[in-house]
Amino acid sequence: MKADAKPTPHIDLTTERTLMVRQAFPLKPLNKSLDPDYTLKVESVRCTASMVLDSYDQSLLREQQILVLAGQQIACCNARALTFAKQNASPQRKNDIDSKTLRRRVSQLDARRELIVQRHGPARLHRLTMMDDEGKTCARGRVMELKTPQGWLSFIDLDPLRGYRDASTRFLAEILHCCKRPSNTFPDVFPTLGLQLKPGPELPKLHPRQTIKTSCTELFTSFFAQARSNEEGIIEDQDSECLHQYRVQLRKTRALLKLCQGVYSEDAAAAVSQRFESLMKPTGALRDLDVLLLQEPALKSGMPEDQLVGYDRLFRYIKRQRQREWRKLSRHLQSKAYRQKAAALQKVVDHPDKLESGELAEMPSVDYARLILQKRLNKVLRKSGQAVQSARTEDLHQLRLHCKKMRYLMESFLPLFPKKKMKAAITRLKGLQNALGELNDRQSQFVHIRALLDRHANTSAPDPQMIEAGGAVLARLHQWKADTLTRADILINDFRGDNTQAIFKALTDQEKSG
Amino acid sequence: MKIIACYSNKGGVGKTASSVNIAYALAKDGYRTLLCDLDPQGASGFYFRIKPSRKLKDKAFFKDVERFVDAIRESDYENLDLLPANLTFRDFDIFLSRMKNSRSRLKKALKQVKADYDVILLDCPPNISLLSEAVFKAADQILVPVIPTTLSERTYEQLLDFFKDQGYNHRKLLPFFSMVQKQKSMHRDGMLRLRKQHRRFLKSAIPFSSDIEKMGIHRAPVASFSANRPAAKAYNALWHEIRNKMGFS
Repeated sequence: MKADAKPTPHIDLTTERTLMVRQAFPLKPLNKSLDPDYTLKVESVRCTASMVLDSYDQSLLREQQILVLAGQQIACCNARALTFAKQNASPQRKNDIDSKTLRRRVSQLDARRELIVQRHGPARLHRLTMMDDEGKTCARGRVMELKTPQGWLSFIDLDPLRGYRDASTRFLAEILHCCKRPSNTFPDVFPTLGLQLKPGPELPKLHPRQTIKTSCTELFTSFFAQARSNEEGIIEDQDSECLHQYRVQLRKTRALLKLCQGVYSEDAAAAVSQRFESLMKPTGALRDLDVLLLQEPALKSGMPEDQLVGYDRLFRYIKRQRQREWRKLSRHLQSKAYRQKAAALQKVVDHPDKLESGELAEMPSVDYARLILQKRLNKVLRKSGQAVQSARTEDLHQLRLHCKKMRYLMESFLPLFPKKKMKAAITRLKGLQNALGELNDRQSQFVHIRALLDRHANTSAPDPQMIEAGGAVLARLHQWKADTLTRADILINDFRGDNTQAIFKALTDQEKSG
Repeated sequence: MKIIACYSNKGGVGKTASSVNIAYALAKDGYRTLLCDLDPQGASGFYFRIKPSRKLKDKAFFKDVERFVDAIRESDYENLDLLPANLTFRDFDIFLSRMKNSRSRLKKALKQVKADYDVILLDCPPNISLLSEAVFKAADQILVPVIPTTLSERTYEQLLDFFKDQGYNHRKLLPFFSMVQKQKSMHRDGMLRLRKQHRRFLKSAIPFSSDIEKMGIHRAPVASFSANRPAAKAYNALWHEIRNKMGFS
């Protein structure tokens, strides 16, 4: 490199920052400006239809990370590094990514979640190698160029090679010299790339001394926004989790309105809660089928080989049912009636002052939250006592509903309490609630498949293989239910035990919970 | 971290070629490897296109940890770094002789990069000197390439005697046949005889091959440009045998 040409850049390579420039990468000028003692080797991949991928909840973009599939290459870029790897087929989920390094880079992605295309567009990937006069690599780098409506956007990352720090720094100086407006910080590039961030799962920052009405209003505004951000995902059938989250957020909204008595007037809360419930009603059938289909691989793994043909037919049948339900729901969400209903609710959410206050509306949030949590805890303990004594399915179902309501409240009021204590309590409750939820799922799946088989057996040409496989599935579900029941029993007793109660006491005691 | 030395008190027996190719096989297997070119001629560095270090000068290697670490160069192959030779390495002996506990200084110096590498491979110069003795002390295992000829046999036996005389652990020695020409009856007979006399000889043998000579043209380990040729396969087999002997995880 020409010794007098460029000053050493004020960028420390050890911080491993990815550089970004709002222009196409200046390959030709860079090649020209290099000292004749050095040669630049460039391996490029050009792709006209690259895809930015992320999960339904944008867990990558939320952490300022971009995953790009460009032909047979996959790239992951954030402020710290840009990594490329070979990719044979378009990945459906995280575990379909061929490169172990890249899978590690996107560890925040849930392996069960689908990778959804966030944007299409031309992309170019380059591997740069600068070699000395011996043909030895002295500096390495990677460049990703993405085309945006405003032009190209380039991300540049250099690998400092051990023992070649000076060469890397000078290589960087050359690159910076050839770029018009280099930046050494990873900016918020999403708007430029045409990417929109959905409302996140973060809870609003509640102040413990603000009134409970203010807190509840802030919470259900956030929940409703999060629920609605999943509508598009449901309509496009991006991931079954979209529907699940839609339902969870609406349920949380309802839980606040219904369970936090005295915050709003009884009539106002009941009326609004009723409207939220009517939004959820058409979603139940599809969710049940989704839960059943999520169990498919586990159910299949235990099937005898001679029943696999019938098993596949049974699940094809269920998948067709699911598609019908999805189409119905998708149409419903796009209907005028739904839009009007949602818009009307949005108005309520946007003008919470119009909701009539209840007698406890002015109570400090933390005091109210303690009160309500104690009340819910007592209820859960009472119900769990009944469930242990009777061991009836109905009592277990009731206990599950109470656990769920309590968990929604605890998760909603999390910002009001010491995080560690609240999380410890939620973990205990979550364990029990999950086991009870599984029990309920097994039961409803059992009922669903049995009804399906009954219907099928009465058709003009029943498929004996499918019926036989269905019988095996029912036996499996029954066994699972028995196993879960044993686990639930242990968890109920554990929840009623002194250790768990001490955790909850620390939370609801005014002095201890701070 | 394990330390393997490639040593012979005779020149031209394939020490550097073995060091380079075994280091490459180690790195390919995922072991973070540092190849130390202790031979002032710097042939290992030449094969990896790495220029001799200007930073390392006499005392620096043992005393100035920072400069020793700084002199390490990343090769063009993943997991493989090299400490290039320096002409001042020839002064090691004089330097070592002036130092207290000179024979264990090398081990102490190598400990500085313990966290960075799984294996350190030492490509040694062909003589018995203070540096060699430091190597004998530091290494967990010493690979000794032996050409199946009378002269090579003699030098191996000299080395064994030296180990016995000085009280070094001769179990560290792992001799293997190098530059073998199986078409020569002298080589075949020599191998049979030596295997009978010394049970420690490894089963793998490196053939005399033009592919190994071509390393000088390609300036790369043989497996990187002709992985399916007998020479590359022989080095790979040798590495696997060493791996099993040393109980690598």
